[in-house]
Amino acid sequence: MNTISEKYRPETFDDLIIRKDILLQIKNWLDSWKDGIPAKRALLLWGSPGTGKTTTAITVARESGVPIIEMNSSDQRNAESMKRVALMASIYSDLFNDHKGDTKGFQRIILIDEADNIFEGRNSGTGGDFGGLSELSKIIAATHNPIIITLNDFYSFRRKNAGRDIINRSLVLEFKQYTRRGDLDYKTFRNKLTDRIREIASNEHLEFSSERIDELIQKNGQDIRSIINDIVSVLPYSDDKVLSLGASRRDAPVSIYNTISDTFKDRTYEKILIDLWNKDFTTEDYLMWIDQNLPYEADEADDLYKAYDILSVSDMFVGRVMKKQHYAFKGFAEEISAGISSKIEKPNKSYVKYEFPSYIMRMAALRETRETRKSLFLKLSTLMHTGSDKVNDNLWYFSYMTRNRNFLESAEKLLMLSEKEMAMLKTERKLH
Amino acid sequence: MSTTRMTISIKNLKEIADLLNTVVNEAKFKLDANGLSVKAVDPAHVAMISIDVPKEVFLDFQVDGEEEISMDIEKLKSIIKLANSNDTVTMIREKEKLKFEINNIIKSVSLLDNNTVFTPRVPQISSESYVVVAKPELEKGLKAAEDVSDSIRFMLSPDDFRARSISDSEESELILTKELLKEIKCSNPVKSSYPLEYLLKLIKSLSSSEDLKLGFKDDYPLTIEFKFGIPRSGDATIISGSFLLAPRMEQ
Repeated sequence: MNTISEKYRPETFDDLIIRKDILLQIKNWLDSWKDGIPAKRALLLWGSPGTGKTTTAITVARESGVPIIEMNSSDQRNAESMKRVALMASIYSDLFNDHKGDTKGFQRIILIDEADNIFEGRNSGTGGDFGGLSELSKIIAATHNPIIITLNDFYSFRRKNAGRDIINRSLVLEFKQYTRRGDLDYKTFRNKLTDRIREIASNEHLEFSSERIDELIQKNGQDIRSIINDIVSVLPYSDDKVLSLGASRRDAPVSIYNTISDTFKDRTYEKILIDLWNKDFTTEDYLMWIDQNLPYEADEADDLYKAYDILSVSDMFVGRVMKKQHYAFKGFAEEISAGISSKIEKPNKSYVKYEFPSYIMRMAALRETRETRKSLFLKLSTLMHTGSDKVNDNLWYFSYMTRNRNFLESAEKLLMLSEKEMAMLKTERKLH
Repeated sequence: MSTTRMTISIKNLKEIADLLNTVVNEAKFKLDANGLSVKAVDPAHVAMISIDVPKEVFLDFQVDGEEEISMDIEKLKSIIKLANSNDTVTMIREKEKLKFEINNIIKSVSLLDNNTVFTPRVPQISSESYVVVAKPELEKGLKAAEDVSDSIRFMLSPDDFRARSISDSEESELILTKELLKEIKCSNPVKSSYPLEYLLKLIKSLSSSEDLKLGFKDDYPLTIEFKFGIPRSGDATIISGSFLLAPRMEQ
């Protein structure tokens, strides 16, 4: 992690720059442990980077006066290490806790940092963190100590089976400093932040004018970590007291949610383009996200028709770019689709919860069927000395044959068919 | 500055490495005029080991002042595998490396940065009640509990020591009455549960130990004190160690 933002990590709840209502919910949850283990044994904090999730978790441990056991993205987090660390920490007490009068109801805080970076892989052979999330879910169900989980990308986490279990077992809080600029939360955030920036600056023997501070806050949005990094990045130039922040422009990657939101809601073409320059997703992702969410943003059939027309043009463009392998031209497809909202005359003004493209989800679900089909065909074609295309043509025949008990039994034995392959072979005849 | 140089029997070094490995993968050894000492805690703060090797255990021990050496335990174990069980090994510090001399093999490995390896402070743990059991007796009880549950409950009364493990379908219990114990001190019955896996690993690694002193009270950390090591001929000085285990949190 970053040492400079760690240096200025808050010590108490009062120092935390987070919304009051969020802090209150966290405090209530901690208090509820005094009366026995609460229904929700885990706290799931999610939100964009630098909004204070990890900092809050560390402060919770500090204010409770208990040790913190952390498993972050630099640790291996497969099922085995989850058992060795998180499971042990969840049901046994802490050697470093003095064992006098336990009034809090728990012994330590367990922090699973950046849980969306637990990469499960498809089996233990592919390595990674196989089984880590399902193990974590089991640990939460039985823990005697509070578990705090942090993550950025809530929606893709929710799509994982184990992720959904974890969410159901947790008190879920979204970390957000304010909903829109200008609301009450925004003002509180700004004031607190300005004070903190001044404090850090004076600590580092720097001087910032109010305009500079405003510029810092404008530029970084809710990302406090980046603000602190920006302050410190001017340190090498601290000889001249007039600090130019222009020298320290740092590009922050823009998430797909922000880009989609800017595409439909903000509708400033230049802003969308800047988002796209700094994106951490592919052009195809962008198009699929627009495809999925367009119907929520355009109510009128005519608008929808025109907008999809634009999308189809840029999709065609991507297709040709991929075929010719002139990948640099993908930018044009992005620029075409970035202007899609210009065709929506009556945009949806209300809040839209953007959805993950269902196409990708469907493809993932189909993958298993495709793989079963492939292995079944391979087995049959080896037996029949034909190509798998031929097997495909004649599958109805093999299916029909399975009505014969003897054929069925010998095929099962000879080809060593799995349960799924067997089922596929048997059901194929329905088509004819 | 003279060089740091230690010679020790491979059996002793192996036992030290195995014991540390029950808890951690990396450890920081402290060397001073009295000998070598090492402390380590597992990442969940559930198990801690501390070992003191007096300099008399070494066949040769040359250390100036105080020094710290951090090592990967797996690496140490792989070097130990190069030796026969009756060999001795000489370790010589060369800047950021440690050179091992075993018979006609010389192997040099790089040391870890001392700042990256954490040495825990030992918490203040003391229990009035304790029991001294023969290692093979306890080992049988732990093996019986294996596969039954992840934890084992130790119970001590003025008359006996029991180690019980219960699951929905199975149960195991070791009962050692007063006569079967080497020593017992207990005025009021006490009980507490501990992680079985660590106990099994500890017992397995303690190859040359005979007696174990277990001290605990209600829902309180367990202290296991033990002595181990092959003494030099005619010399009774051996290595002492202690193992701490956190109790299971009961509802």
